[in-house]
Amino acid sequence: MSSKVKIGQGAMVCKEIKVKGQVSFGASTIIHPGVTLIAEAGPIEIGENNIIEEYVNIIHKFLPGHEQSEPVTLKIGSNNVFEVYSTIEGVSSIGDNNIFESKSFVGRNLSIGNDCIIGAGCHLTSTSPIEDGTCVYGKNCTRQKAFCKPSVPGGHREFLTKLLPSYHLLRKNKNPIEGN
Amino acid sequence: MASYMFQKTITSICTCGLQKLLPDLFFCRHCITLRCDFCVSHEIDTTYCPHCFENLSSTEAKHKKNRCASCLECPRCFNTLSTRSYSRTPEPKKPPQKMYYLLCLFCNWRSHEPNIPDQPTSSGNWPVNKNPDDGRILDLINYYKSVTLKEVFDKQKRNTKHYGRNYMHFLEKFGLNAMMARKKVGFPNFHTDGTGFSTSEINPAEAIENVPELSANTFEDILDLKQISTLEQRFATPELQAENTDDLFPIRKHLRVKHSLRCRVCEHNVVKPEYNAVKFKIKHLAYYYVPEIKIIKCEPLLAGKWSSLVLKLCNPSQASTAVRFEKLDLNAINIIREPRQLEGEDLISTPKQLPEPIPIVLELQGDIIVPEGEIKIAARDDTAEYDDTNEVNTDNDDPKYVYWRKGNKVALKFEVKPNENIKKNENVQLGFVMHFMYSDTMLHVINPKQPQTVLVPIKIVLNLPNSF
Repeated sequence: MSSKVKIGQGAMVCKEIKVKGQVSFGASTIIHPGVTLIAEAGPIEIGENNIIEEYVNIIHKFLPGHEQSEPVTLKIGSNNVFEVYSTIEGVSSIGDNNIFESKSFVGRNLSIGNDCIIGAGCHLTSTSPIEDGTCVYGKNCTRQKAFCKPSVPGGHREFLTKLLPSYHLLRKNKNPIEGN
Repeated sequence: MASYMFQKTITSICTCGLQKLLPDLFFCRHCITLRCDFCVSHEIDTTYCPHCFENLSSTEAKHKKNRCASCLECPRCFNTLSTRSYSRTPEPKKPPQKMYYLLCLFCNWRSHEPNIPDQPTSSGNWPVNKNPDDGRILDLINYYKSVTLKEVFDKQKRNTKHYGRNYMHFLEKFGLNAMMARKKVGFPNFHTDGTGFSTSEINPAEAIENVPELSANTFEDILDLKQISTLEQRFATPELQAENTDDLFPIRKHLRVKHSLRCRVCEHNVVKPEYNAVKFKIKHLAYYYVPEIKIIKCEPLLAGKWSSLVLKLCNPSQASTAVRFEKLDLNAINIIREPRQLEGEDLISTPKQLPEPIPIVLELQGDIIVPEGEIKIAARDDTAEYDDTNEVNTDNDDPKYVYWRKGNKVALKFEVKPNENIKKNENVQLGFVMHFMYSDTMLHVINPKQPQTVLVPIKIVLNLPNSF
């Protein structure tokens, strides 16, 4: 698998992930094992302080038949949490402070703002952008105003930084000049 | 119920004539027949809160308007709310104060000030959102109550006109004893002619002349759909119907009812829940007694041609049983056979007739050959799975009909022929009667004899998908 991986300062990326194409991880980002990142339609840039949990798929591909298009960079902001088995497919952009709950699916050409919560199991396929501070929940993907900023429990990140390296092999930067 | 049991292809016809799936049916051990939820009477046992499991008496539940006093529901997605805490320092010198708010873990709704102020105690005493028209509604309810009372009284007065000369029954009927007692003490008398029921006066609703006009930009403003409550949310609180999602209030959780079911014919309990536990005292469901039928193999059905069909029968009861098959006779389908009864049965009351059995209308689209003779099915044995030496006697089986046999399961071969004029993509409906041996393991007070066995006929309808 041809891949160029750039790992930022303090980021933890488990070895057992599938990467295709050019992917960069921002500082303090935590990637659990079993994650699939496919950057065929251009590089994926993952910001700082993100947590990507097990079996998350971030797929950045061209539509079938449009393989020769201009490559586009997929930018994912900072402080996002992708919970177990959430799938991101062909999203145009993702802002900061979002939570993608378990088994949620976000479809093509959708842009997601800041401070959003995509509820567990929500299947979003429309292309109308999700504005800042929206909460999507339920089987009909009802969008309503979120009353509080999504937050991760305080100790969670510290807990992961302590625990992950003791049970999993971590990926290191191939190029020693950059980062770490 | 587990979804695998919902094979819509096989339905049984209840005694009352309705087609039901086996998991939806009950089995009355006293009438020894199937009962569905229409031929049992439903009785309210207890009311309880589905979240905190507090049991309430019916009067208490009525007083609280069938809602739990302590559990709250999210007004946005109707899941149970949980309480969260944070600490804040109201004044710089005082120690920090712990405050509580409500949070829905599913849709992230949270109670927010100023609508619902944060509370200093975890149990909350969360403010109840008062309906501004509460007083008026109460007035109306009281008024209608008094009207019904008056109507009842008038009716009674009319009915008691021709009673002959014996007035003794009036003593109790109109509480004459109480009236005499009042007279003795010197209180004024009750009005017995109904005039005493003063229907409280209510002011009729009045139409207002000057209705405030809509603002000019009502139709021009761009709607923010995120802020507007959905119909579901509005219907959850019909008295308030907040339009803005900011005005939603937590809803008190609805109470649920545990109901016990009673056979309408013999008046024995069919299902009875246990008080204060998620268990049942009595639970006579059909799939504990009746062999479960499942299709395991079906050759493609062709119009006018015989094809084989393999059904698996599984005996769920602890006693071995035997089944016998019979073709479904459409002419005799509506004849209800005499209620079966065990010897020495202790009757609560004389068996009643079901109100009105529904005539079964069934159209069969084919012919079926059922296995002949009696086929025995072994009892269910939970340890059989781990026992390799568990051999089943297959000597008496006719290999023409018995496909295989294992533990309490047996696979039987049927032959099916759809009609010549069967349409494309139409299901082939077929039927047969299964008689199964029900052995009564109940201990009878009067007659503690050997367990008795009764043959119970059950009409089965197959709905086979058609393939061309």
